[in-house]
Amino acid sequence: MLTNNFKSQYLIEQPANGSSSAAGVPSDRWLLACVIMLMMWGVLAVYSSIAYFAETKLTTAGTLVGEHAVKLVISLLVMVIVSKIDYKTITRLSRYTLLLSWLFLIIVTLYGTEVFGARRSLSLGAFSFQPSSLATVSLLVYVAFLVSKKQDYIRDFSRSFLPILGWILPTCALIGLEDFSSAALLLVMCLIIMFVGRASLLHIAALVLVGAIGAGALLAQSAERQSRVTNYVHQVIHIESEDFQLASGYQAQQAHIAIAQGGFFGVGIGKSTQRDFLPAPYNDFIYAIIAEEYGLVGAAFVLMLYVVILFRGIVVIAKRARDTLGVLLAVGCTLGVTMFAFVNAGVATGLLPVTGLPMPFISYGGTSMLFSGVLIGILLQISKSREESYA
Amino acid sequence: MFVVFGLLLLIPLAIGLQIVRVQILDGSRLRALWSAQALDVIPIPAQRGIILDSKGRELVGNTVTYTVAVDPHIPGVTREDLQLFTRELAAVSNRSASHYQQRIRSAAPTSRYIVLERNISEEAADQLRETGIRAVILEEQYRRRYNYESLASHVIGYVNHELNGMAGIESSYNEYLRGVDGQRQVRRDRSGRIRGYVGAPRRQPKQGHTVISTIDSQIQAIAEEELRKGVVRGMARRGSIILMDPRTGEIKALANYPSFDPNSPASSPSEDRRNTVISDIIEPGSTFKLITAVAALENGAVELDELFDTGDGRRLISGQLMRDHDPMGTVSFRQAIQKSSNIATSKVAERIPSESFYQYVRNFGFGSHTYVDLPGEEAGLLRKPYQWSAVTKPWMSIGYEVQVTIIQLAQAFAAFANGGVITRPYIVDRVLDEQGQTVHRNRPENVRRAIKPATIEQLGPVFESVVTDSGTASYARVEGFRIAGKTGTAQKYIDGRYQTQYLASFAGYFPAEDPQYVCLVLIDEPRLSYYGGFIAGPVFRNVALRLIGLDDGLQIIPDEEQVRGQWAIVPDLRGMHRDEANAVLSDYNIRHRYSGNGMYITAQQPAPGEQLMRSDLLQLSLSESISIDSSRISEHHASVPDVRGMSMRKASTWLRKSGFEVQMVGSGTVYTQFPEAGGQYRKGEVVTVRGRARDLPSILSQKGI
Repeated sequence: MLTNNFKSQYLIEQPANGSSSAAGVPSDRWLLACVIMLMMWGVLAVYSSIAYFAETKLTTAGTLVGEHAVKLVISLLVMVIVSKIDYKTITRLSRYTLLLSWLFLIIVTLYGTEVFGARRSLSLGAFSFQPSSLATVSLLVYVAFLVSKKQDYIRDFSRSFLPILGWILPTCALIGLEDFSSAALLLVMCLIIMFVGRASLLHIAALVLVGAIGAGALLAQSAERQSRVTNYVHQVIHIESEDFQLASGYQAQQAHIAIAQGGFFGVGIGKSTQRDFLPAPYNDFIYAIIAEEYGLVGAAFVLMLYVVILFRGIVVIAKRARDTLGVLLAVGCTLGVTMFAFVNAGVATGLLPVTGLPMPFISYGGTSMLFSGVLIGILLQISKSREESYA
Repeated sequence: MFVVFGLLLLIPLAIGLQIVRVQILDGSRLRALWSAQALDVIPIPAQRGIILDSKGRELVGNTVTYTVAVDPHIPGVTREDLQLFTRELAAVSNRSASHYQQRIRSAAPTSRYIVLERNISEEAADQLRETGIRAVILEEQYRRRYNYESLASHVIGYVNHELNGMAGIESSYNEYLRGVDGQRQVRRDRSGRIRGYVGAPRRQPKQGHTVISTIDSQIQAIAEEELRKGVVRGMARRGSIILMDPRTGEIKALANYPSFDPNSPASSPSEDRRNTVISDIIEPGSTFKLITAVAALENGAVELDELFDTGDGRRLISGQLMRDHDPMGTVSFRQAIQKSSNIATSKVAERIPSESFYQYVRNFGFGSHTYVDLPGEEAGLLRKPYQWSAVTKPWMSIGYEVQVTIIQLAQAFAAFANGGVITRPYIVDRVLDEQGQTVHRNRPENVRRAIKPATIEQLGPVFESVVTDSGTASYARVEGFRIAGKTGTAQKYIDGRYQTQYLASFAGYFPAEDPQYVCLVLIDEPRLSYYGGFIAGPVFRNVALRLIGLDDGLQIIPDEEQVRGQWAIVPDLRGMHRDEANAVLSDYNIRHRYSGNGMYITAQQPAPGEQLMRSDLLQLSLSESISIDSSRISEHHASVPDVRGMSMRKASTWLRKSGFEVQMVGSGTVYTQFPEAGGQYRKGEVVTVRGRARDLPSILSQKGI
């Protein structure tokens, strides 16, 4: 079978019997444990860093952390519910949610709420909702589905590569209008899925080239983006950005100060001082706060949790998945969680240019939390429906 | 799959390495940056030292007051909160809520610090804190509290808003009083707000030292009261008084009138804040004849009984006319001093060699600072003999052509009183640190001998005779008590010529047999009369009389007949009906004047038992009822009643009823009280009353003479 051909490339030992998911196979405990630990750590970090923001929102840190906890519970519930649904059902749904997210993205571009100079979220009554998250999840799932469906002729440019690209590019373009970094990250993740799905390297390389040109064009469009990039180059070379009068340079410097303050073991829980200086310390720069409060040890541990998720997702769960769709879906979902975390940490440590990406399960923010829950839910579902011989 | 995992694993590895890189390569520099932006050092203010008088009464203390401001942009603060707060604030201050609301409205829209009120008391601040409105900013400030308001204001001085001394002891002992501020590290946030303290204070504040003055507030209060009465009686512009102990140079009292309240120095004109006693230079007039007399006798230029012809009281010296106040005919030198003859004195002075005369004036301390420990002292102006004109010596001998300060003059008289030694006057006895250890002490300092004891023996009785009926200072007399002194009446030299404005003065010491006090009174531009004896003499006399009541070292030997002539003892008229009082006063032959409406007498000036010159008016206040007007008095404060002349027991009852604590010294009749009657003080304040066994004035008033 196709699935067996595909799988035998990576998973040599295992014979395929194509059996469907068996009751009684538990979901991946490591994965769940990591997610819950991240969530608990997130509560601490958010509580420590949100006080200033709470003041400007006319409320207290306690209230906001309460809301955060509610979102965590919702996320966990979503995770459980999704993990009960067969991922085939979800893949079938994804096409429609993707189309829906396009609609939302267009609306956001026209009417959305402005946060830190970019329009990303849509206010629906009391909730603010970021359609880009919906688009990200939908696209990851849908691309995984497309690649698995076209496995027979995956190297054919016009039959498989172009149609898949026909979904990826509009989505990324729509996201990229307001959030360049998310779009770029999503593109990279889709390409990795395609690479794992044995798409032609030539095609992918060609696309990267086109993407680079496109990125250049987008950069030329906005001075803010340009300054971010130039700052970035400075910052990686010097650690210390000289012109920290610029907002992004200032942020990077403050994040560095936070990390330097942290030292090996950190300044202690809730004793961060840089939270008073960093913008959005509860979100974009939460990793810097963790590095300050828990030091190198804590920061490395948080990173380790994501690496474990990455390992369980890509190596264990994907390997044990019962079909190609499962493998690719596992890769996509794992990336959807861990890549955001890595990019966020990379920004906080000054490795990557300053962008506003959340750290899944830790950052304060509902949409990201919800869709990360969906991704982990799918992963759990895949882990449950593995081939029995692997128990 | 492992390939993908391996490649992706590079990202977290890179991040980990980056953290290590940031921490190790640039860690110290970044931490320094953190300190620079997040840490700050703020001072912990040291408490300024207090100032005590020689009897340990606290003249100056400290209070905490608060500045109230609001930050209307604190999140969560509504307009209603602010309105509620302004109402609360209005309740503890004397302004209306709408005034504060207006202030908030008229502030710049972005302002986050709108000062609404200053000098809010600690209790009021606590009350405001209880409202719990987060927009409120209460800032603590130490302020100086001058407990007796204007008492000794020219001695104590005042401070500026930074609590640095600007005048008086506050200025000259600023270094001792100030203390050293402590330091504390704080953490600030992006907008500069203090987020918290970092560790224990880096340096504890060193509290300011305690300064103990030589001033006795009771004597000071007497001096101020009598000076004020003297200025009012003489219809003068202003006046000054200084009381010193001639044996040590300690200043017991120093006052200028009008004075000011150091609690709010800016509300008085700077002229009233200047310490005239040390900062103004004047031509002293006849009081300077003391120096001429000493110089003449010690030069052997004159005998006390040598006669001088003063003619018709006019003498032309090198084209300038010198006058006596009255033509005296032929007088002895003794009489020339007694009656203050300018002509005779100038004739004597002409016999003294200029160099020697200059040396005497110089030796008495004129033309140089006394180095009293107060700021702003003038040295005066004494020209050297080669700069003198033909008229300088005769005019200088009667106190012109030389410019002196009042304190120099007092110092000269002190030297005469103590046996001839110039002593440095001083106003601070000692400075104590927090543990009570003496860190600085002023000791009596003998500068030089200016007069031979033999000269004083000769001249002493002459200056004592000034204060007799035949001398110029009969108004300074206290019968049965030996006082020596000299009157002075100087024309003021303004705009290049001598005006018809005068300085009336009297300088003297008592008791003459063993001088314990030197007192100099100077009244500026009196309009009632210009004679020093008549204008300044009674002030001196009243001070001396009241000091006799205060100081057990002073004894009076009464001679009733003499007292009854010129002076009347004031009877107690308080509570009497107007008609009744009229009858009593006509018996006493005391002239009087009423003020206010009503039929009952509520207050009188002078107080019962005091002496009143027959030529002066007794001031009586009338009211419809006998009770003392209390509408002005807050519930925490009370007006000190006048208990002089009462028995100690009655006085103590009365004072307790008014809410004061009573400290009784001695027994018998209340002779003096501190604080003075009429002052508004916090209830519970100690009022000291001193009683004496019935002595002359009280005996006389009891007898109803």
